[in-house]
Amino acid sequence: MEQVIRTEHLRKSFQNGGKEVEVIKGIDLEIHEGEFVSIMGPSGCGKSTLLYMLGGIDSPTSGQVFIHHEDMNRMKDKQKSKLRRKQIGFVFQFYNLVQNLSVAENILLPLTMDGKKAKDYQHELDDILQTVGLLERKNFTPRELSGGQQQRVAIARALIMNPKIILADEPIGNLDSKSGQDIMQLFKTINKEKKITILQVTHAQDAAEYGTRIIQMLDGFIHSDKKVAHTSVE
Amino acid sequence: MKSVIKHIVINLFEKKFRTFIVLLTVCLSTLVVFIGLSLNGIIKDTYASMLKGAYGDTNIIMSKSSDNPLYEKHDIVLPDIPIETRNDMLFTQGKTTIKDKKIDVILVGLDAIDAEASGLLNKTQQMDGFKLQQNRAMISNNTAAKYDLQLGDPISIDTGEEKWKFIVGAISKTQGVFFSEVDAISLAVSQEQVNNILDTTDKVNTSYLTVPENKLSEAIQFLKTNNADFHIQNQSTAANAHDGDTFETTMILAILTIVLISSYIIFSLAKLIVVERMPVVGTFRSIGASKKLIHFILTLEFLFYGLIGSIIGFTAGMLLLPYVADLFNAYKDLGVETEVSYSFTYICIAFLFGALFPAVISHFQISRLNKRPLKEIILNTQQTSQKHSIIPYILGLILLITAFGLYGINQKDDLLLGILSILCLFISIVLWMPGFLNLVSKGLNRLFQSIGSGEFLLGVKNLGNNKIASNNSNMIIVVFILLMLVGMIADGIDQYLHKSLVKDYDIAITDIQDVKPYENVDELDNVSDAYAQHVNIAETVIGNQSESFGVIGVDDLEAFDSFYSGITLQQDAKEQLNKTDNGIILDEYQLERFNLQIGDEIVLQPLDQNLEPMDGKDTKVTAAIVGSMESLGFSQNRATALVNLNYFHDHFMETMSQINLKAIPDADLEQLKQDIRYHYPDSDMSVHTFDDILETQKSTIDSLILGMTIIVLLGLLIGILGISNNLLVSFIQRKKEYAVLYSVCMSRGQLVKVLLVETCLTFISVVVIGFAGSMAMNVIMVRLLYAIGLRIDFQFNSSLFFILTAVVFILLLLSILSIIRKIYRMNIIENLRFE
Repeated sequence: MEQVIRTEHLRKSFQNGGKEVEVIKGIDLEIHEGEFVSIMGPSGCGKSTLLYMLGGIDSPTSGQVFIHHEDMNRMKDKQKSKLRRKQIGFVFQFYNLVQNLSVAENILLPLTMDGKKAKDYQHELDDILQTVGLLERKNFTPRELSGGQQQRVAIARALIMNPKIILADEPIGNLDSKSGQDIMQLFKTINKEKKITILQVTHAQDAAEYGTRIIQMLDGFIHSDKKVAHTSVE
Repeated sequence: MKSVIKHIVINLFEKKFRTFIVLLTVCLSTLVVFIGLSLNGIIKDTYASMLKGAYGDTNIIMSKSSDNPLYEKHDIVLPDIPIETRNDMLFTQGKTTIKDKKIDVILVGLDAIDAEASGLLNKTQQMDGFKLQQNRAMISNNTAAKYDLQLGDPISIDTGEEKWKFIVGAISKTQGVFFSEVDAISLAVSQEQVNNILDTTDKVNTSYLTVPENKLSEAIQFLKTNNADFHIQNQSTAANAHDGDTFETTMILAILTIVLISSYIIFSLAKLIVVERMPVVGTFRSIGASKKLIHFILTLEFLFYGLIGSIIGFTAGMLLLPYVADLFNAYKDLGVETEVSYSFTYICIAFLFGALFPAVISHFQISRLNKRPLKEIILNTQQTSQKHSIIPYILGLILLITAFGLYGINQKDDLLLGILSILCLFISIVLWMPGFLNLVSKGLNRLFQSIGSGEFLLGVKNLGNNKIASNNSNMIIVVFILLMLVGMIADGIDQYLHKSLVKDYDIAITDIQDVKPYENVDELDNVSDAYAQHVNIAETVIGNQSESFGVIGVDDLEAFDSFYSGITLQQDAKEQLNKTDNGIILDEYQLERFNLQIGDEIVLQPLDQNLEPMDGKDTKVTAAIVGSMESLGFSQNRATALVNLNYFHDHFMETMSQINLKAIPDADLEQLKQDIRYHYPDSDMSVHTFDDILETQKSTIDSLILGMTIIVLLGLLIGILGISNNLLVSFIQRKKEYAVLYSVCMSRGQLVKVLLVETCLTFISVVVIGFAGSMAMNVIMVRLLYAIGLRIDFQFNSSLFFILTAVVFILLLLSILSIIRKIYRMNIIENLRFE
């Protein structure tokens, strides 16, 4: 399978109280097409920081991130945003929807920012809304939706540009268990049917086991990296 | 409690810029309220001080009204009331030459001891054994300094037939008889000597009396009854004739505007501060703090702002008051010192206003915060979308209809109705603004849906739907319209003086009781035409609304019409007045205002010099309206009334008569003034050029315009600070929104483009709504301006509109540059995560 993400000696440090604190301590990682990777670890181990660096939202102190063999360090802000728009979909714990836009407008936002006309993508929009189960609510605003529904909108937004990768930061961290299960099932379906590589950061073992591979982090290092045997969760 | 106060104080210090803006807004509004309230009293006191300087302690002025103005002291029949002081004076005119400069001289024959006791003289230097007797004179220290005159210096006076030589024996402060030394110098000399000059014996032509204040009306009434040949004037009547009311009304309107601007800025800031406090409030609530405690803590914070701001504000106000009041002293040239006094009541009003105002305004925002679900507060899931409830629009529509309804009803130009209609219009604009922005947003979105870029369309949507972007636009528009309101009033006042009056004469002879002795004035060299105006003030009350008319008795309407181009008689008014004995012609504005028709009758009460009913009784006159005129160019209050001269003589009295002269082209008007004075040496008339009169009005009007300009500038400063703070704080609130957009699909450049679109649309909306609002204001404000006496053809102030537009443009540009810099330096991760 083709390699979609690769890191080389990735490091990240922050200034804290005048001291430099290293949160990512030289990570080498490879993610292949179609994988569903769950990154786990205790708070402060650097898992979310790693995710944001992989998505080009944060920059490493040293080391490289390659997306489809392209070094993100060499990209300008505009190129990075284009990459995020076209190849990466982001899903956050608190959904991060634009409050003053409707469900449809939120989902189509990456398209319009790419210079495409929303009216030309109504069919795709309906397909995605069908996938996430929100076809009836496309003209609602985020505040009119439940947490689970808002997260589905966030997933739909992540999917609209047919990205190769979805990066999810604690996607069910703010949801009840039923909604959490539904969202994880949705991720699993997307991963299987659309062959989209998914990388999620999670605290929950149950959620992690929806993936095909679990990476355990500890103090800025990869502590373990295992494949998941899929029999129990389904 | 200690920890709560500590928390508040830390907040004040941590948010230095915001604290600075709130404190400055409170401080400036307190300062304006204090200075604005104090100024009116100070101006009145200064005017009173000027009058006291001119008339000393005297309170009744008497002069003779017949052809011969000279009389003997015992000609006056005095009341059975103790006369505290009495000064009989004899005035005449002459000329002198000092250091090759020809100067007009007013010789005042008086008793020095009596005059000094009444404050009409105040010696500062004198020769040994000085007495005001033959060939001795007293001059003012002003004249002494101006012409370098010392004690013992000679002054030679030419009175036409003879020359008289005086020695400066004493120098007085520039008060009393020396007070009006503007065009001429005054010489206090012995009464006998002036009698010698005029070839008379024991004659005087003016008497100043002092009676106890509580007996004043009684004394005047007695004097009027028993001295029919005399003009008796109450000195305080002159004080009442001052433009105090217009000034006070205008000042109150200006203060009201500043208070409205400050309220809106603090209201807006309170909204942002409360939203910003959400996480802290969430923390407090999660550990068990009640809503009441939260309300208390936040209110206390605003109370702190209020207390500190108002203390600084009124301290600055007290320090600045003498300087500001001095700017409004129109009598500085006459040596009148500004009478600064600090009113405890005004200090309390200003202090309480400043201290409580932010807490009261923020109350609504805090209550709103407390109504939100606890989870929302703790998780700080703030909503940035704009709610569009129908209620404000309905209310706005009702208020808009009310505003124009009141405008329609207010035919008689009532001040209260005028203010109410402006207020209704203003609130309706504020209520309709979000809807209008939403409409603009939807319209543009539809228009550009297929051709606009994603950034453009998002910016367009934010204008209508994003609470923070919309709030910014609202605030700018509100401040814009309020400043337009003050600016339009100031412009109205300016137009009132500079653009309305038509120069129909070059010189006016005023302060004359009878025009007869001056009828040959047109025979003087350089005079091309003269018109004697017989004038009386008469009051009328129609439907609870009163008006004072300047009634002019006209003998030859053709001559009057050809002399004054500032009056245009409509249709056959001239013929009708000639035909009707009790006919009266009024300005068309007054006919419309009082809903009067040709043929209607109007009841007038003529007033005497003291603005009391003529002869002290009900002497009402009923006149029939026979025509209308347009008289704005003649008198800006459009309250002139023309009647036949015979009718005038039968029912009115000449109290404000004057003779207007036209000079031949290129005549030296100053020389002509001197010639007129010289021609009537024993008259106490006043001679002024048209420009002198304009200048006198100008000093009052200029004070008003200066006041309004200061108010506009202060309002602009508060507005600019508030708006820029709002823009910057709103950036802080929108950081998360920007971070989300960046993380899912946009570059920083695209975020900046969205911001630019929002800013451009805000600017366009400000211009459009500001223009529409100002035009509506322009219509409605006419009633308000008419109510305060500015009855002019009011024009939309386009230059002020463009200046404010430019200020908004520069302000937005400067604010946006700072925000763009912040977007490029923003830490996305920090704003994406909530942990």
